[in-house]
Amino acid sequence: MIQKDEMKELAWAARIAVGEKDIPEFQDKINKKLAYYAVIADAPADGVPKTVNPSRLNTVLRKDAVVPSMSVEDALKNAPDVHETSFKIPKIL
Amino acid sequence: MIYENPDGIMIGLEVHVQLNKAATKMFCSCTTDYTDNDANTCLCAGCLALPGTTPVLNEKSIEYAIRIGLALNAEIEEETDFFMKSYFYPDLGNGYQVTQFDKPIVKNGSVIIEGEDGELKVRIRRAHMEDDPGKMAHFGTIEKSTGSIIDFNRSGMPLVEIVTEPDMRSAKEARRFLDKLRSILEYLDVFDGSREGAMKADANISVNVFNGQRIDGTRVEVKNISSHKAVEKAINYEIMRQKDSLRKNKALVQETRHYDEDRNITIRLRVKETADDYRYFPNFDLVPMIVGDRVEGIRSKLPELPDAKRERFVRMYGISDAHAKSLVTERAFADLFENVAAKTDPKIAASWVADTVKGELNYRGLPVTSILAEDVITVVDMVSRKEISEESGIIVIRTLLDDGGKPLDIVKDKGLAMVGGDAITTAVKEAVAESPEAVADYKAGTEKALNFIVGKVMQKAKGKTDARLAREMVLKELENV
Amino acid sequence: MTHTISKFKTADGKAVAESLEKIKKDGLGTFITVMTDCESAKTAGSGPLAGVPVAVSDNISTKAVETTCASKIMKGYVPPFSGKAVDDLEQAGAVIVGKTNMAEFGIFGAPSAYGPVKNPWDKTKKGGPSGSAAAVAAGEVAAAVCSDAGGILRVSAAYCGTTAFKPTYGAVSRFGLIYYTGSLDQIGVTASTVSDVAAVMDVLSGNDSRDTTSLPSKTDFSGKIKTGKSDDSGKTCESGNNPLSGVKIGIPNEYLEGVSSDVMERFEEAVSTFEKLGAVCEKISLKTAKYAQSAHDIIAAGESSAMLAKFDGTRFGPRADADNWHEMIAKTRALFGPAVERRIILGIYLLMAGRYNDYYMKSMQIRTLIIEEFESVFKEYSLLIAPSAMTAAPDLGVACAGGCGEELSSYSSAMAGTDLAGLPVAAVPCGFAGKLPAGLQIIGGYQKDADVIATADAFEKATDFVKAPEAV
Repeated sequence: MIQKDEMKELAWAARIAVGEKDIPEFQDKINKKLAYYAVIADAPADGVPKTVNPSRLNTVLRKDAVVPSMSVEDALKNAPDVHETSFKIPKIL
Repeated sequence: MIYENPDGIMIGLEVHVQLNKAATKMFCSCTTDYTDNDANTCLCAGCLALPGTTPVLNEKSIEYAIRIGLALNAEIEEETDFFMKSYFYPDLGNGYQVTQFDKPIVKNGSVIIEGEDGELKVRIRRAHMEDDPGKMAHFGTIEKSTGSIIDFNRSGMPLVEIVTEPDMRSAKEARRFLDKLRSILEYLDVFDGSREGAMKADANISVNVFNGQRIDGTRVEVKNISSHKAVEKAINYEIMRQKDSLRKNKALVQETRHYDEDRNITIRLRVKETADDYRYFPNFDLVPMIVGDRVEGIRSKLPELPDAKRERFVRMYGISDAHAKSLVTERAFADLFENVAAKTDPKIAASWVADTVKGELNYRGLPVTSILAEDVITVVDMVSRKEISEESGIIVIRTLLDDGGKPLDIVKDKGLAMVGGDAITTAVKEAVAESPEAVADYKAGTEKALNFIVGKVMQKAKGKTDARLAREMVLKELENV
Repeated sequence: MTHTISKFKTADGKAVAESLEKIKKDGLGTFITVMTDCESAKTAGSGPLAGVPVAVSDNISTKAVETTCASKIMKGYVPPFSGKAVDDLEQAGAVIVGKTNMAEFGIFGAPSAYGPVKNPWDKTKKGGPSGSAAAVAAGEVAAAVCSDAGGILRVSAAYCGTTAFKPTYGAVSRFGLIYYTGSLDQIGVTASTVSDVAAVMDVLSGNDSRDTTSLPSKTDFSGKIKTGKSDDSGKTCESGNNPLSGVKIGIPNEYLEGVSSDVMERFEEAVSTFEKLGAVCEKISLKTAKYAQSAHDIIAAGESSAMLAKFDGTRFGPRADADNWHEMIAKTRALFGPAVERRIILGIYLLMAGRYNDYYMKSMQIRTLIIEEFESVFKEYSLLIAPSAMTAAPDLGVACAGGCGEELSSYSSAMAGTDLAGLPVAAVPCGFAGKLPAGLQIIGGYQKDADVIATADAFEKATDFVKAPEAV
């Protein structure tokens, strides 16, 4: 069960500013989900290898050949803030 | 058994190496040659982590990682895969780094370095592939900035992170490890160390002896050190700081510190992270990489590595181990030597290439490509045939590096051809005649007085004669006085 | 009157204009963006879809056209490139008239920031989590391309009475698809008929070197319809014959749980139809079915926590005001809808070091068990069938049946299982529950896409369920 404080920590770990009033609903819905997962506890999975992706392919590699870069205009087109040709952001600390 | 130094210092390194000899980045076809370009001009939507792009692994990344593993005497994983390592940081567009976790492509290797007390085997725990984030710059310092800017040209550069066991016991050993590693990587042709950001290291340092007693040291990580010199300084600072804390009975904490090169100190970074849980999990955008079948093909094409080359040089050319060691640090240097040695006496070639040419290049900060083997051969030949003096030979080398040209022209232009026969006989006679006091001193048994007279001969011949020859002739002349 | 590709083709060059007009008039909420200037309509050429108006879901990147994934966090984002599916459609001469509405980021149970899709059969009912099916049913477009994680496309097709197909994982490149769960999502198609769906699938098929998981060779989706072969036995499906003779079809009991009685009746009639066509239908049991939705949900949560991390207001998209970057991204990321936020937070929780083995690792192991069980079932049975949706379209404003109430990432264990195994599935209409369509799904083994399509085609030809609602 996720407690209220843990819920807030998780929201911060996800970098999502969840409003104080929404915390109980988040807690409730996620805890219900965890309860729902109880069924997998008895799945006979011991020692079974994992499947990450349903693709049956392996070792898909690309030749080391350069493709021209996108234009700097395209690169910056969607940027919320720009300084010269760089993305600008508020201070980090 | 591993030697322990009095402070029980244990140093481990994590070295991030850019595979910048690959033409393209790790998961996209953008160029790796971005250094001289404007910010955000060498990238694609994938490098920028725009939504809707998918990664495809560069075959060279795999090949280069295997080359590195083999050169580090390590095991290569038969089937390897990638994980995502999640954290939020502005230069990490995707919010996760693609890296490896429990099946690194390389594990259990070693590198032999010259330790404080002879040969030291530094064990390599693992080496794994990962992609580089972009690059951030701050307006002002990171601690007091008003804002930052990000350039994603570097984003997606292929990296191999090489992790050692904590086998090094001094900053000097750590530096020697890095020098050796760099040399190996350049031999492998996977890496150009001269490019900015090509190699970075994190160092784990602990002091495990205090007041002569064995203690459980505290492992402190110093991150993101950019040069070999800085690694040495950062480690020395950190050892001092830890010993000082122990002496003052201040508690050390297991932490990550940042090396401030300008101030030569390590500092704790204030980071607003609750805990370092990177939530590693398998990268579902990629498929398993079965690489075992590539290993033997790659091994068969591995170049001769520095240690093997050094042994061969001593064995094959009869040169000193010191010369051999100096010659093999750079592959191009070793090649230069072999080209010169093929046409001249190898021992003389070793001395000219390892001492003179290398010294003059280093002094000027020039790469070995700045000089041609055929020119060095000409110089060595001329000196051997006593057409020019050794001193003149050095002048020719310097002139080649500073002004260019060809050795024969330089000798002619500068009038360096050895002064022979009558001219030197005259110079010797004059010098003896002009130095009655020195002659008297010599006769009285003061050996040093001879040097004064020889010096005078050299002066008169303007260096265009051989000092040994001049000495012999002065001795002969003195017999007649 | 059904809205087939050939009907749009014969619209005398006015198809695109009529399509745009209809989208405007219908007011079904099927589209997020409608192209006002369809340049490509004038240069359609002579490809297989020349001049045909089609739609793509709003999580498929379209160069120079806003792509929002039905999320506020993507508002104003204009991709500098198009997805492979978009390029393929345009190459074939199709005219993309707009971007369809969908669950936010295609996450089952996450409401669109642009409101719900209304059902063209009854505007008080849901059109499903993808606007693609409603757009096709209403005749707004001839076909729509949409991703199908958790069954958003198949369920929508069932609600609206269209035909949909999700191919084997890797058959259509994901390049340009803004997927939230890369290992479970696959681009599919909905249209009025099986042959139309197959024709569009053929256009989308083929290797793309930009997507690691893209299958190396082109899948021939419509091949068996054209040659008249319904399976590998070489039998033909000429009308009057028994085109499915010798075909064994399994009906997993677990896939029938929770199905409403009216949908169940239609399904049972459909089973009789398959039998009349020569197939042998048998009830079977899938032991792993009960784990499928949990495993799907856990994997989707983990993958979404990574895939949705890039939405941080740094390089694109809206940005909230704050004096430092970490606060800025946290406020910006509050633009996700609450269901999406919960999914990300859940993913982070499940992937943390102490829990990883019990949840995420276990789910990846269950995934192996599910794939293995399907493989063994498909040794005995050619195909599996099940109802697509458990009920007919529910009322607007109420949580739909299946996983919606619990915010599960899949509609049902059938949807979850087929996603986890990457299997091809066709969803076809199988009659009406009251005035609303009911649908069934036909599931095939890995890369047995053409068999699934041929069987769906045989079923369609033997029945009369391809219908369009009266003009909405």
